[in-house]
Amino acid sequence: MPDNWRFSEDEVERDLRDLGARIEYPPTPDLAHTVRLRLDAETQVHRVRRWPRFISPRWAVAAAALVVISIVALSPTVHSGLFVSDQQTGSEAARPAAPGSDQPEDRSKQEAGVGSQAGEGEATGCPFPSIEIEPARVSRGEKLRLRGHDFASGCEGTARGIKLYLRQGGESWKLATVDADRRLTFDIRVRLPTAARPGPAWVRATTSTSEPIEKRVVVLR
Amino acid sequence: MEEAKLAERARDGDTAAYERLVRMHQAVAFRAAYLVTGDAPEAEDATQEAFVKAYRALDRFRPGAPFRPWLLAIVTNEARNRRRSMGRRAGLDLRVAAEDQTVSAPVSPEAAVVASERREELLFRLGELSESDRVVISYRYFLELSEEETATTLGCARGTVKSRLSRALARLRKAMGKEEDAG
Repeated sequence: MPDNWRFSEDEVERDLRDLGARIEYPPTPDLAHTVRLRLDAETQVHRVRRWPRFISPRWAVAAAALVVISIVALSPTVHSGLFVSDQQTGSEAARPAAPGSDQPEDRSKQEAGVGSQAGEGEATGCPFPSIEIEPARVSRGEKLRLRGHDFASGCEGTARGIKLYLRQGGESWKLATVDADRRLTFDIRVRLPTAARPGPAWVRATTSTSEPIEKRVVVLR
Repeated sequence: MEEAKLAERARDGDTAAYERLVRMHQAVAFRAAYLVTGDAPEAEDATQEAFVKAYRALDRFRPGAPFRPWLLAIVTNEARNRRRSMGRRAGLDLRVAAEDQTVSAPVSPEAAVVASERREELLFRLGELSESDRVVISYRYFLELSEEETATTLGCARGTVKSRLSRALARLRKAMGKEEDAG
């Protein structure tokens, strides 16, 4: 390294220290409370998920088995089957079945099929997040209320670090970052960016685990 | 309450103690993240996420060890990940405060202008260095971390910090130019 650089290492070090004392950083956000709220919410979710002491897994399995047996026993299909076999001497049993038809069996199959599909839909469906905006038409620089529902993290737990943006054309403005509460909701008031143009825009919510959600808002003059 | 006690209570699940710990370190943590990302909202997100991750990792924090460099290592890692996901090179969008006559001996207006220009140039050249050079210089001189703290924060040995810093300063001096270029 040649020695004829404009500044010696000592000079550069001194200047850097001097510079460090004069740098104006953006204001430090108050994160302490937000971090605590996140951690408290997280702890509560874990507590809710834990088995209460009086419900051991063995009892839970027994209860679940009882529920399944009850559903099967009380389902219309089984009922109708039982009644048909009980009432074989009645008018329906006496009536000859149409050729090639196994009506009661078909009907019970159909009912069972529909029933199981509905059951599957309910059992496997994760809550789909949504957002509400109030008002839906708002002037630039004015506040709007954003409420989110069903912001879960992978079907369980609360979604954290939900980023809210306003998107218009090719531009976007960050509005806020929020965490869902125990009910998987959030409720926040933000100011519409003054740089937005009059016309339609979209409030976009993104999380790390789900597809972005968007809701239309109209920017007024 | 001292830092070690707060860290111990936080490790036992006391979020109020951890809130105090966060408040003690949030300024330096945010500045460290800002020096890496060059973007205030990203730095805020990175810092918040790092504090949450640090809480979850408190079991791995050695009791009695200094909390600040351990935390800054997590902050730096988070900020670097975010900067990478931003998909662009982070700038060093720093502003220098105006000359404050109360902190230094009175200087002539000409000398003040020269000093101000030199600081601006230094900042500009620093922004042109690689991320690795910028981070080691800015952590050491702007955040005023000791060599030991810088080593813990960057996850390397103290000797490595010394050599990296020396090379980074040499590149900075080179970027500032030679004596004949000064005029």
